[in-house]
Amino acid sequence: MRYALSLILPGLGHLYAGFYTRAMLFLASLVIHGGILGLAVARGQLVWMAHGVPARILKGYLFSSLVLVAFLGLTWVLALWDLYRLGKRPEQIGQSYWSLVGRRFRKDPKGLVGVGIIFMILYLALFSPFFAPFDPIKMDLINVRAPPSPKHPLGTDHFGRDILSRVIYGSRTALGIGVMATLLNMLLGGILGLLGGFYRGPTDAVVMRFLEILNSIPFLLFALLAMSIFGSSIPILILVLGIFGLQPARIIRSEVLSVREEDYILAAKALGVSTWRLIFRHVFPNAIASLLVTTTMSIGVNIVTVAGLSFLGFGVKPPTPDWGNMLGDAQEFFRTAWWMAVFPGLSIVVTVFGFNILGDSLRDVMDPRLK
Amino acid sequence: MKKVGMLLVVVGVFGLFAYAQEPQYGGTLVIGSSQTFKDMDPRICNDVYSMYVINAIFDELLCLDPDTLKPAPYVAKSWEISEDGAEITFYLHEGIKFHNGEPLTAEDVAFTFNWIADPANASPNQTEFEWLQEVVVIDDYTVKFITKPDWAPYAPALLGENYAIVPKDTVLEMGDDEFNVNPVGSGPFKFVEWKRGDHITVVRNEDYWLTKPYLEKIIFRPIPNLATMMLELETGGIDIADNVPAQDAKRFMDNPDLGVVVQQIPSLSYFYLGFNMSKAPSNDIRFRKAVYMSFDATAAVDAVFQNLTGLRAYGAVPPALWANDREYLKTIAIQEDDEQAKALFEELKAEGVIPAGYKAVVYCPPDPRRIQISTVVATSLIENGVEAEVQPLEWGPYLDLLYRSEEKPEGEYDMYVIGWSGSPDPNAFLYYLFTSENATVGSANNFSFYMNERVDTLIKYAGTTLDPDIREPEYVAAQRIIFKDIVHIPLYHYIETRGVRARVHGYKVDPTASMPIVDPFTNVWVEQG
Amino acid sequence: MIAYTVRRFLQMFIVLFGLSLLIFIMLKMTPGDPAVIMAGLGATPETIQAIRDKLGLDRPLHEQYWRLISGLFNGQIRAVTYHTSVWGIIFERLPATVELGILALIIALLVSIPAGLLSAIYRNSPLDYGVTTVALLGISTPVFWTALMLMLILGVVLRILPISGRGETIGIWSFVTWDGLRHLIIPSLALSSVLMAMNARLTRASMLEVMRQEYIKTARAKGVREAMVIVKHAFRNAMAPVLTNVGLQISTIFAGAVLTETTTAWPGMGRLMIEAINRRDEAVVLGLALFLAITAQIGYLVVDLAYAWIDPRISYD
Repeated sequence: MRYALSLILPGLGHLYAGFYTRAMLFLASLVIHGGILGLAVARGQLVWMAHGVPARILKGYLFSSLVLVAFLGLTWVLALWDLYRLGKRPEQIGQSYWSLVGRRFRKDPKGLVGVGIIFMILYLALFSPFFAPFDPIKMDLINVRAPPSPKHPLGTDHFGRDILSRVIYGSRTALGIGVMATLLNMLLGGILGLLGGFYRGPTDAVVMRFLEILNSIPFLLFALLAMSIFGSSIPILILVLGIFGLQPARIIRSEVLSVREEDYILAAKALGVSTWRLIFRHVFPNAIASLLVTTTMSIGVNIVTVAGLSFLGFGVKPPTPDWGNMLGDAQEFFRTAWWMAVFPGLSIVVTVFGFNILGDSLRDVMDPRLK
Repeated sequence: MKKVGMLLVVVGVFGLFAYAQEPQYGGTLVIGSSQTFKDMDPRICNDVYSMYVINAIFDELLCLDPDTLKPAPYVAKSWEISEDGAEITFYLHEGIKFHNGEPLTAEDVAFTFNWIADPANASPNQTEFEWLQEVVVIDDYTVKFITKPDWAPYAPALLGENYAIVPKDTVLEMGDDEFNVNPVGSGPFKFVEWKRGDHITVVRNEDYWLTKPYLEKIIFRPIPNLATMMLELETGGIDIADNVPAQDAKRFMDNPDLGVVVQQIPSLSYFYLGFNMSKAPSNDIRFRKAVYMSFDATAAVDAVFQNLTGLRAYGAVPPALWANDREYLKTIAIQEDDEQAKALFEELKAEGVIPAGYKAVVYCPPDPRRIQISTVVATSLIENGVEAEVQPLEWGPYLDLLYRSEEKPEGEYDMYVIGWSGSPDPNAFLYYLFTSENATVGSANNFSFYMNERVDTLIKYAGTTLDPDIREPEYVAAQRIIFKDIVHIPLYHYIETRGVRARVHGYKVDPTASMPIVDPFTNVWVEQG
Repeated sequence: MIAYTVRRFLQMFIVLFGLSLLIFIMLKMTPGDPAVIMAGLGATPETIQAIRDKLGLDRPLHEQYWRLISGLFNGQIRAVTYHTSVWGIIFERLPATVELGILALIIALLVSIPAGLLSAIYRNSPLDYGVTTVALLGISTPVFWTALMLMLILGVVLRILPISGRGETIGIWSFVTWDGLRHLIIPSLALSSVLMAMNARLTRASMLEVMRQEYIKTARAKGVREAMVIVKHAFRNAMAPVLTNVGLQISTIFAGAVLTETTTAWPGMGRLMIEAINRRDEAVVLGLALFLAITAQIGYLVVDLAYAWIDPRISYD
């Protein structure tokens, strides 16, 4: 019965079964995504409905529409799966480490604020065409540097482009570069840490030396030179940031080092369990806590660093909107058109703050020693 | 009695008023420069900013009359040009001394210019003296400049003497490197210290031969961040800012109680979007036309410069000079027409002139104005169906790109935005940018590879005589051909905009972008207290 | 311990060598011929070639590398675009950045340590949240932004401080004059905002860690006053990791200094780095890279040694 209900509307089944909080979650997801869908349809921007629109704009619509449909679909699927899971072993729910973490997390206001901010920015990035009132690169040379007004809530820049739209689209480069660079960090750092921690000896020495050399290279110097050589394109930015944020390596390495000596590991090894299995099933889960925290902080750091590079002129190229290059442009106008600088600046602060506070909360919440 | 008292008061007030406007001796002037200073040796200095300081420390052979832009006597009190134009003889003032007491003689003049002209010394200014064969000392105060036989008569040669003179014996004794950081000149101010990156201080030369400078001290401060420099100007941290962006200029002009006077003058500059005509698609005039049609150049210039600091250009020769032909060139300028531009691009794509997957890259230097204009161009191209982006490059890589290399002589760029400034002679603008012999790999400035025999002949011929009436029609004809061919899209002439605090008197902004403080026409003073 | 230090120094040389090679290769790959830059627009090919010869740019690469490295080591090498020796120009600009960095650090620590302590003691109270929020805001705001805001508020609106540049100096230091100090305030405040956040959180975490230890509970059980517990036992032990971590922050300080110096026209090494890269002055870039690397390495070494000194359980031999 509950499954049938959930097929119609995700969350209804949960209501029927008495899981009110979860029901709320799914219903909320439905409402949010449905609302965005409605917005897209009303503006004629759902890719299947758009006519007579130039190719480059159509590409933007395609991406957002697909993601929207995917999310909606996911809501249904997840609701059903969750119902199934709940139905199977109700008594086992709520005792694992992760459930404990989850519960604590839900109570921590810091974490909720962080998640809220991140979701907001994420959605702005994913569905920019549906939210942005204007085309972010369309210039209007008659209306340059107009102060905030009902038509342009955040004003226009020195080319007459709508700042609200540019801020919304700017979230794409900020999140995109920040997240991709951090993923690269995690990947490279993780591999290095694992290798060094697990194999010890000469491998470890090499890894540590390599990390030290990397730490000694003045980041800015290297980044500026790299930008000059390879041009300041987005993939290069991601690569440079990815190579330089290798803190995770140390963390994973210390986790591996400490876990490795545990009795159950030695026992497993004696039993002949393969190395990879050991790593994945035992070492990794223990490291995840610190990793998660570092990841969120990393994303924050990377976003600010990209802003700094764009400010110096080495980051994302115009006319692509990016909070950092918007700030760089706005510098000379900040006495006469303060809105050009304040809003992109605020966006950076809010976004990075969201990631940082989430990380802070995760750190508090995942520490097994804190009661 | 009362009436006499009143009269005395009135007279006293007027007297005070008059006195307040009298130039005062003493005081310090602080000048803000938008770039850091590089060299203090005039023989190798080729950047406008270091020249601010050099002009204060050294004297030049000639200077320019600010109203007519014609050469006026300075160290040289008079000169003669020979019949065939091949020799210019200068007669120098006597009794001029360098700051260390050494007298300035023809030896020093000859030494300075021969050194610059000698390619072995690798001076960046050597290009200006390609025409010079040799400078010869006739006697202590007479010196002769000899033009190379195949270059004579070279009309612009006279303007080339606007260079500072260095003391031969001192330079040889100190060595070039030391001289560069401890310059010794004969000018109105003596060098005191150079705190690199922060400021340069100079003090009054009490024994200056021309006149006594009013100012006691000048401090030159490089402030590369424009926003910071405006803050300094507003609070009086600096007295003169060498560059004021349009919106701040407007703010200062609208609010006189901020205490800043904005001075403007059209400069001898020309900024343009160039096409690389040696390869597709820029070698097809339809493409160039379509790009021109994609955006409204006048609106873009007006927006970027807010109708204040930039003037739309229709030709290469600035309106301040003769032979600019602005009226006519305006009529052949292409207007914005997006429909036609789109159609042309389609046509070119169909024919394969624009290859599939083509992305137009507009290169420009890291100057915010040029980046803004390039952005307008790129955005307009995108709107008309051509993928485009702006790529600002630092000067180093930018010049490298434009100068090309042996391996890729046709260059790796398609469109570029750049500026050009020159001495007050149309030749300076046309010869270097549009003649075939300047289209070589490795430097030279015809980055568009424009090679038109007729234009070459016209320009060369115009350089061979000294009579402006003969030269003008040649230059006009050449420009008309060039711009009908859409070699460049002419963008703007910069209007030199300086911010000067109210306490500074006697300062007049100069079209050659220099910073005149004391010369035969100027003696700046400040209100003190 | 001595053996350990010596070993570290040896390793440092290897690292420096590798670094110098890397930077040299990158410099050579960077587009932008130094000769072209020096010659400027409008130069003839002959002039440019003459400059190339003077700089030795056409020599084989290994010869150029060797010339640069040996020149750096014996101090003879000249910075061609600055007309003085490379170490000369670096050390000329060094005091400015050192002053800036140290003052920023002092301000940061003076604010962040008490903040972190209070935050840890009154955990999860509004004070804790407030401090954490402000600290996180600090890291989230780009430092050039903070600098501009400070210049606007303190320099233009309130007119109590000079906006940019460095003040009067006595010898090489400017903080010893009143004018110099006034010029130092805005740049140091801006730079400290980045450091405050990190150090506040570090202090908080460290303090929390210490307060959980057994000996604290023992002290409390013995009846020692809470205030004494905090001051005598917890605080001192908590400070150790925080202070030692300062050594690790050197690269962050420098990166922040570059942005701060550019915005406030502060004549330090950060701006020198940007200028040298723009001018393609290879000797200066290499010299700077090596100098920064050495400084960072020494920082790490000091941190490691400090940890060993504080915690007798750690031994490196």
